[in-house]
Amino acid sequence: MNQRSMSEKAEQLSRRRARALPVLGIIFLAQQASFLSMPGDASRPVDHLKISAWLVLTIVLLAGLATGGAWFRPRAVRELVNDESTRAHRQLAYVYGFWAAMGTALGIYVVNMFEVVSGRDAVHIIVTVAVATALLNFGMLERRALRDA
Amino acid sequence: MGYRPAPDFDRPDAQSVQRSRRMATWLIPLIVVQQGTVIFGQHSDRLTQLLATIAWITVSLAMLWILLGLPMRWLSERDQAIVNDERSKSVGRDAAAWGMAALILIASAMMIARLFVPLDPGIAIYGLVNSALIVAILRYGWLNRAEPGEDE
Repeated sequence: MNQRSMSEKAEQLSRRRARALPVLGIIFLAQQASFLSMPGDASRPVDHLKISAWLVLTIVLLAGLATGGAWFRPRAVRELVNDESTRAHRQLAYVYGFWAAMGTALGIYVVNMFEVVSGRDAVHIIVTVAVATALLNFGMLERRALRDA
Repeated sequence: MGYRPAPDFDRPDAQSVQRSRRMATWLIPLIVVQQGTVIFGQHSDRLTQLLATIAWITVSLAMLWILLGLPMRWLSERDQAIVNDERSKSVGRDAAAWGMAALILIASAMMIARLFVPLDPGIAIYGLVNSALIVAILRYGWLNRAEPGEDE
């Protein structure tokens, strides 16, 4: 693959990633409705399966965010996809995700003083908010950068 | 009648804030552990628990303030620029990324652990927030440590 085609490929992948990540973030958030509507003491095998699926999805989304995706592309393309500005956007997205998690956790802690929130729900909400915020922010920053380029 | 100008020898500046940050990053984890023993202590009454919770939230917000690099209005513009320079912002972002990674790992461990032991929401949130914050703040402290040649 020559330099020009690699650049074009990287450009195409960057655009696709910028389109996909916010959508994935929204889908990830929307999916949580089915988890949070489960009874608090849900301990059927299917509930464990749902929780495991959520954990796997969370880890896959985070891995995608952390590495920039394009896992099955040549190394040179991956490096072009993860340029300096993408790395800066990713770090900023982590920052937003982290603060969103901390804010949500403190909020749930206060709510828990008046209305009982189960431990499972608390952890679930905090992680979901963190991952979705990071994904949405990264996607938005990338989209803005591509639009302004 | 003359007025003496207010003494400014004890007014914080960029260097003193930097020194405080470096010291606080190593002290705060100890404070958090101590607060936890009061909040979740078997013999603490309701008022003590409430006060300890308020103290915990205050310490957590102070840690976020340090990491987030929010403007410190009591400093001069010049000192604010020094304290929140590009390097500090980069260090804060890196620390937040570590905190985020710790948060996800610990949350995953809690979700697995709840299959075997009941998960108390208060302890879960306290553990999750503090573990992530402590990892972030220790990373911050490590990256923000004084260089060998730096005048302390």
